[in-house]
Amino acid sequence: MRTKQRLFWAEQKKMKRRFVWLVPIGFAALLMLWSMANIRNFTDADRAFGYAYLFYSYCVMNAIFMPVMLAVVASRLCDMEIKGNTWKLLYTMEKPGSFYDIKFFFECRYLVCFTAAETLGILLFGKLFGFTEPVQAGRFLLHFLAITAVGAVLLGIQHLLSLMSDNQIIPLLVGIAGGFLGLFSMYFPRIVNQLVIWGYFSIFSVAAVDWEKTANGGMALYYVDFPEVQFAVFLLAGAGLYLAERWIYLRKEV
Amino acid sequence: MLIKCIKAENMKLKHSCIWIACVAVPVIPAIMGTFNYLNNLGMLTEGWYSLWTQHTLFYSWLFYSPLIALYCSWLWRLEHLNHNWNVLMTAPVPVRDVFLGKLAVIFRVTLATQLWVGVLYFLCGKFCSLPGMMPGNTILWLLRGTLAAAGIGTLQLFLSMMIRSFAVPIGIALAGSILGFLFVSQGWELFWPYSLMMAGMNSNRSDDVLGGDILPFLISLTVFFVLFTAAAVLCLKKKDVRA
Repeated sequence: MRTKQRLFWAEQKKMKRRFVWLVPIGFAALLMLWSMANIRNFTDADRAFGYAYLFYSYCVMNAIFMPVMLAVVASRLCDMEIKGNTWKLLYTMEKPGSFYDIKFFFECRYLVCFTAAETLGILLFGKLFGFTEPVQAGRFLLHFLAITAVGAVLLGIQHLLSLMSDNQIIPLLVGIAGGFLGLFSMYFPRIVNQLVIWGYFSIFSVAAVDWEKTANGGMALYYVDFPEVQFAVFLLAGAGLYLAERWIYLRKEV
Repeated sequence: MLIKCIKAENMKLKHSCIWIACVAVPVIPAIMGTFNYLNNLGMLTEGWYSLWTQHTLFYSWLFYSPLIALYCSWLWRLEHLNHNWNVLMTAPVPVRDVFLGKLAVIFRVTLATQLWVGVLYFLCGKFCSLPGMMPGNTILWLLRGTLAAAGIGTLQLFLSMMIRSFAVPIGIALAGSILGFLFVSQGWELFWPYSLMMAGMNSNRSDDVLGGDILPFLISLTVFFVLFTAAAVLCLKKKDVRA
């Protein structure tokens, strides 16, 4: 336990004056600004589906934001070890596996900060702009869990790439390409969407758009039944992927 | 001196991963945009122009700036590592030429990216059995998008020079692009560097967003170019390096 505490404080000290918090805060602020620009034009009819609209639009925005944001966070935290060439010194004091886990834990803090801010932001906008749709706490919880889980799986990929690449161009390239793939896959049939890991924000979205009705008038939104079984399989697959990434990392020569 | 700086920067690009980004990223909107176009032929009825919107909407709105930012970060990372700042600043060349040399290389890579986008657009058009050649307008829009890179490239090169992190300028570019959409929706695209791409490439409509008058666009580009170049050169001259 004391070793874990020491690892935690060692990482905490590395974060001093790195201003990493600015990344999730900045992106969350941008998300809020974007929402405000849209919500201020809402009619009474729109307010009756206000939360559903935000749940859906945030899933689209997450597909754009998150891959690059997570690539930036992972790169910012891992690049300090690469730039400083600290591996040999680190491994005389820490086990590589523990180092890999604690770094990932620190990156997850920024992810959870962002997803919590996003979920609370939906609630806040509902109150500020007078949404008439009733608040369903379960939907908010599912939204938070879903985007955090998908984000954590993507972060695992970025974490491995950032630690493995001497040149950070590869992880950032994967982040940009992932954002592209995730966004496009949303407009494809579900079977294609499921093949793209960056597109899972829309698969686990609690709200969706009925495009046939939308074509005939305003945006027709509806709540979908959350795919619990698929989500459980996704979590298991994500955990398996993390262990595989860790295994790959442990074989890296320092 | 500038030519020598450009040659030196070109040598740094040899065998670099930057070309992977240049080739791979435009392939994604080309493939997915084409299939999206084929899936929605009922709604997308303007042939080459409809295919153009599918290829370039997300590319120019969200991913073109981060891609340029990636190029810029890569170019400055070489100087941020291994105390290379000391070598760079003691080289017998004006700092202005150091910056412009890097900018010229960024412009070259961006030009290659845009040419590749054009080739993919043409090939995908033929794959979709669209008649004839791609419209002349789209070639002009590709060129305007390349020119827009001069504004963004200068800003991103300046940011990557000042910020020692590889990733942060790329995050800023994405944030700037998203804000750019708000500027475009208000009709203020010429006042924000990140929205110049969208206006230049005319990616969300088939009629010209600039109304055929390219002069304000060029003035805006020139202002941003001069502003960010001056800021970068001033910083290089006045600020002490952190090698």
